Amino acid sequence: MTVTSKFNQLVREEPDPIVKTMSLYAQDPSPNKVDVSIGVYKSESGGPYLFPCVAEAKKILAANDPGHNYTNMQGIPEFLEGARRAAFGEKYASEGKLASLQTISGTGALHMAFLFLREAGYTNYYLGVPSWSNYVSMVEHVGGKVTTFNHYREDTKDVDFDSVVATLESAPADSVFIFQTCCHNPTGADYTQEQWTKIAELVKQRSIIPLLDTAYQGFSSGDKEKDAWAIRHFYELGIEFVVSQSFSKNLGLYGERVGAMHAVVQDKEFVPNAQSTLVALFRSECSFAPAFGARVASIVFQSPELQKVWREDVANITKRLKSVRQKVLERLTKLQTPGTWDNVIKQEGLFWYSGLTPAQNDRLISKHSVYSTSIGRVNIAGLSDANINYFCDAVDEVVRAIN
Amino acid sequence: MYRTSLLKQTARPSVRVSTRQFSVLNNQVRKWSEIPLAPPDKILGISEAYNKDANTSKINLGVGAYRDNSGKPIIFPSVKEAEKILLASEVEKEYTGITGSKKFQNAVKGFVFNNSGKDVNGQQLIEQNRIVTAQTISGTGSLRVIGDFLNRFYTNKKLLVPKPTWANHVAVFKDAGLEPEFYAYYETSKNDLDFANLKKSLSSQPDGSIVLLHACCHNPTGMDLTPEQWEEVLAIVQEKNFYPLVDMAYQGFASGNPYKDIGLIRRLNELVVQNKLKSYALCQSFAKNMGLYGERTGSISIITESAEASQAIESQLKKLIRPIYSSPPIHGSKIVEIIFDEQHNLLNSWLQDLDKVVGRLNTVRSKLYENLDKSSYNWDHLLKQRGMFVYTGLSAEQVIKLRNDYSVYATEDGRFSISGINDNNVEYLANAINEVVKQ
Repeated sequence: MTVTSKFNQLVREEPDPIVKTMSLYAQDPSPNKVDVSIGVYKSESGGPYLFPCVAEAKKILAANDPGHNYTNMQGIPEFLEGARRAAFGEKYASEGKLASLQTISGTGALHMAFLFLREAGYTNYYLGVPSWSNYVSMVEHVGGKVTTFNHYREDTKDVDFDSVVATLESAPADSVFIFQTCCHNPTGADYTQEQWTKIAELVKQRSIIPLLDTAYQGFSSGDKEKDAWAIRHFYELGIEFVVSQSFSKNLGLYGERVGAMHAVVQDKEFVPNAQSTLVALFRSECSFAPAFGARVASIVFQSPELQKVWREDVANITKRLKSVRQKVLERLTKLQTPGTWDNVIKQEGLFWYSGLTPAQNDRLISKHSVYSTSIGRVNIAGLSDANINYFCDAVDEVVRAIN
Repeated sequence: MYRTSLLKQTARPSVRVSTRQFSVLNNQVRKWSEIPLAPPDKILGISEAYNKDANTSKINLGVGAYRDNSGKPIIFPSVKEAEKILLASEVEKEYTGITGSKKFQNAVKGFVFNNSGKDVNGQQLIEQNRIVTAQTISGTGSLRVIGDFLNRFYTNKKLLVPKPTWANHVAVFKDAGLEPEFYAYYETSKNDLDFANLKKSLSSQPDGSIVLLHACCHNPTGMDLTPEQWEEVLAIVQEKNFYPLVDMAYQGFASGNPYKDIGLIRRLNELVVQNKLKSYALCQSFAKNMGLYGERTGSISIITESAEASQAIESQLKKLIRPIYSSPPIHGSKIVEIIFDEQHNLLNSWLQDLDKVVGRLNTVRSKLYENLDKSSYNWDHLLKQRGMFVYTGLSAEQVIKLRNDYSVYATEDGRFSISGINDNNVEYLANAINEVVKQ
């Protein structure tokens, strides 16, 4: 070929690590293979799971088909109202202090939060690590800077709260702290209410802007209201902050891309500024957020019966996750696997931050066809009675083989 | 603390000035409204004013979506059918890929580039893995992603857009870091293409610029180039080594048949296969031609020099999209997949649905023309224009007069959405226009 490409300076990028893991899993012919990688809830049978409340809402939507017209740039009003209520509770959601935008699920909500904060002059970020791998590249994508601190202690396998406090005490004013409200990804190690109280105190004192990312609301305690405690506490204290919210997990609407971003503006006079800024920013990104998933969610939000079904769905999922965690601990205890493993029941949500090393993880894949992530994050939902013992035996083998 | 609070403390001398204020944001919004054509808030303002108007004869010509003869939005029957199939078969909602599913990508490739199996060049490019297709957040999202992509990897930031063009083009590309500049396209005083100046202004631009081409139903003028004129433009593109970026939002609305509206694409493919053009990119959506507006279903495709280049480009697209929104929404794309999946036999009914929609637009266009007074104004341009809009050539003053005196609501650039016109109001509208033009 004689022409040189106009894109000849491009190099081939490594695929997202988790995507790579998933394609390896797909190619693996082993009948015993176990997928505990990507953060998607699986049913007891190991298959995908459609929330009963969503299945019902889809039927209602089909029977009252609103068509596919453009929605509002801000988002579908009923959806936003429900999203606000889910995060902030009935009372605070109706006080008029929130600027809200329907977004392309959680990633889109974070992206809009970063853009919004940049418009308001805030580009200096703090992030507890380890953390969801996308945060840093997302902040850098919009020209922000990320400083990391320890969220987690490998030795205690728990939150490193001293590090959190020290960082809040030393970070410059107007820094943005990214916090996950519950089911911390990937460690599953959440803050207690006392710890949140201390964080809120420091945030106020030191003029910090919190960005609360809530991707798994309900999966920690089984109760969506309880899992929103931090958001409501910050609101009560008169703090101004941003919430990024996803319904991918707690309504199982992953691929439909259903989420929202809320800015808490304590001085109502400036809510329209924030609101119009969000719409203007969104206009040059994608104009409108997709309608279908948000309509399904709206139906759930607006129907008291489906709300009830939704609460039960979330409670049942959490119950199953907790029972899987218990069974993993029991099996590893029975096998007398070297090490302490009670973090599996202490951690919350979909993930068990196992502490397995990359080498042990590689062996899990090559010798046992067990696909976790290289950082040792195990999606507990990928386990069920059919494969828990196989999985635990594999963990036991790699821990004994490599240490 | 937000600036919102700081603003309240202006009396205190210690207020930091290094952070930007929310008022700065407003300046930016104001700047956007200087862009030619109506920015979104204006259109919303028009709709609001329309909704409040008590006149029972009022007409809304601002809507950008299709309405039937009774003024109502429609669901394409073929789309409804596809949704039924989806509802009955869907058992999960898990994420699609960062750039969408292979099935969707292949459907788009077959539809747009291969003319459903009838375009030799397109077929060759597909078989050689020289087309990278990514599902995006409809048309806006596709423009934004390609804008970001070109800003990162292309050698030139200058992007040439026709004057006039869709208002959001300029905003999206500027926001993505490119430098949009107009090339001559339309002469409002003559209500016609200004082809001589179009060529002249393109020829005067620096080599290697990016050039935005509307594939069909130019928005907002509705005035497209003839195949002969495209030849001349593509000769300039080759000579100047421009990078063609094609926007195709209305495939099917020019002729009623989507396969007839891809002449430009087919010619570009031919040039690529002949090695006369290295690469080009296409943004398209199913918002209009399947009526999937709110579901946000569209794509970008980049035609590359080799399968190897395709792999690099695809990996960079994924890296770009992942920190913006991770993956696109699936409902609309699954509908598209079903419509193009032969086992469901829906393709022909969709083509018929689309033909019917375009048929109505053309009928209304002719009816409006018939009822307009040709003695005081030459309306022949109406019949040359294609698509959802009539670009009337009326002045902002005339548009405002139509609004105030006749409750006819349109944007001040004189772009009328034909969707708002039907058998019941076409005569009223024509009469109002005639009166305003006479004055």
